[in-house]
Amino acid sequence: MATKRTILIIEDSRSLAQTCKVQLEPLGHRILLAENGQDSLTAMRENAVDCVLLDLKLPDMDGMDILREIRQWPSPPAVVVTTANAAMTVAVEAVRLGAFDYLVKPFSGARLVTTVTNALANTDLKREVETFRRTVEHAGFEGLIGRSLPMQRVYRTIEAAARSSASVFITGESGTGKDLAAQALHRLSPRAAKQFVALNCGAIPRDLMESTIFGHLKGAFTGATADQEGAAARADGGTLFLDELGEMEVGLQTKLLRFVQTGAYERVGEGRTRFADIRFIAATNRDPMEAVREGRLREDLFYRLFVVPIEMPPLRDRGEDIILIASKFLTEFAREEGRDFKSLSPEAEARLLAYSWPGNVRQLQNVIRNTVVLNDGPILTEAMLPLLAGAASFAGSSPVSGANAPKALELPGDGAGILTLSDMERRYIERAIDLCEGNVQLAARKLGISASTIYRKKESWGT
Amino acid sequence: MFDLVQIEEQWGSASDDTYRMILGIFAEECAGLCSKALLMLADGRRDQLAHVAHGVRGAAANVGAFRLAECAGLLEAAATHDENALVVLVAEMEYAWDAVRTEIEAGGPMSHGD
Repeated sequence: MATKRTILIIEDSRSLAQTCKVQLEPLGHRILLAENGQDSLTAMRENAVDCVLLDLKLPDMDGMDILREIRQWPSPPAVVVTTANAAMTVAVEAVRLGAFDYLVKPFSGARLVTTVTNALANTDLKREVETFRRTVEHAGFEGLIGRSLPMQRVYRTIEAAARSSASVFITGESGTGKDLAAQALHRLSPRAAKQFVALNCGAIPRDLMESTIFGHLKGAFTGATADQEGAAARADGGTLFLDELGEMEVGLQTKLLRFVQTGAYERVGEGRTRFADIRFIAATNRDPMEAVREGRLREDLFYRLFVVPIEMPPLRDRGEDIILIASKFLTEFAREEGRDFKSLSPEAEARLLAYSWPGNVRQLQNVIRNTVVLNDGPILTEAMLPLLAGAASFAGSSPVSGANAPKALELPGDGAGILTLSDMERRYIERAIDLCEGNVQLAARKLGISASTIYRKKESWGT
Repeated sequence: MFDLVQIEEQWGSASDDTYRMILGIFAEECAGLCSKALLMLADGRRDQLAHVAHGVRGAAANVGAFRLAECAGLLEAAATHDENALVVLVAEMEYAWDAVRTEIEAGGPMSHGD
């Protein structure tokens, strides 16, 4: 049998709903039932529905209004309208609004099965074409650049997961685009009209985290000079993205778990319980299972959020995507900086492909910006590329020299032998911060890591 | 009370297990809808009466209870613009439902050869 699909039957008559259900069950798909308009919209927000059987006369809503709403969603399910009204005007109007087909009651099981099978095949085809079109036309997908196989898998998962409200857990090294994937999930979801709220749990001071998520009342703590709503209220009906979740204090994770499970929360300093309808996306650049084992991430919270996993591949595993991304950044930065760059030389491409990119796309972005700022085109040559951390990965590269050569970090050493890797990392980061005159954000950008990573490491060094 | 040709076209046979199961659900559902129709008529809630009649029409047609479906269709059409006819049409639907219920209680429709 083909992939299991989800079919939603929207029908207020119990005998008719059951008739459709028993006739469709042999297809092996998952069947959901809703007997009014509101329940049907909730079911569609919470489940990735592929086909809808829609009765036009519902107790609380006009089926045409539901059809109009569904058709506005990205990647909408196929809609088959069912009506007891044989007048063609209704059917024509439904098809004009985007319904795949219509069935006039009473209809046979064979007719129902054929229509739904065709509708599912049509939806699959439309979605595949749409994914392909997005990937080919833009060499990417919803802000993510690349057409490599690992990224194609990511695109397909995003597209499938976007239609449901299931929590998504994104893993991947720093700079692989976890935030872009989260934004894509929101933009393609039925929640796209509401807010996408992103919080970096590693960058917000621990004392302020609870207030940042749930909000606070005036006077709840020193500095709370006015009532303030939190991310929960802003993301109501939309999506809350919790980046670097493993950095959140374990005590607060308990409150977050309750919020994820029930939608209930209290603002800091307030007894009243509030509710929000939120789709959660969490991300981490570390192994979440290790964080669970070490007690830094609550196991129950992890499993509550780890419903749909997405792993962002490191740039070194994405082959030619490196050139696509570098070319896009080159065009973008050349325009911003008023330079004449048009393309990369074959040698420059070979060097970019040979490097291991530990800082991933963010590091590549910084390298291209750095090169564009310090040089001019029309061709970005190999000699213009700066030395990078771990530059030995540039097979056959030669040192950059000349007036335009960017200032590079030297490998730290004390001349007394081999340093441990962690000592070397510490010295390297501290040297980078010195060179950036104490500007951690700038140092982080140049190192191709996030500022919060530097802060976390400084905390572990006790500085 | 039942259109055997339609039942056989739609379900294969009136003795089909699935048809029998749906007929049971329909009997419960329709009893509730017909009671509601009387209440709606008494309260003058004509929009809701039309919705109830619509429900009876679709469900009855699905199990081949053609006469009941027809009565419900007439009531649905009249509910919003022919107040004078409503009492008679509700009574006719009730009458058709009584006949359907009686036949279901007696074992339901039988295909030829069953």
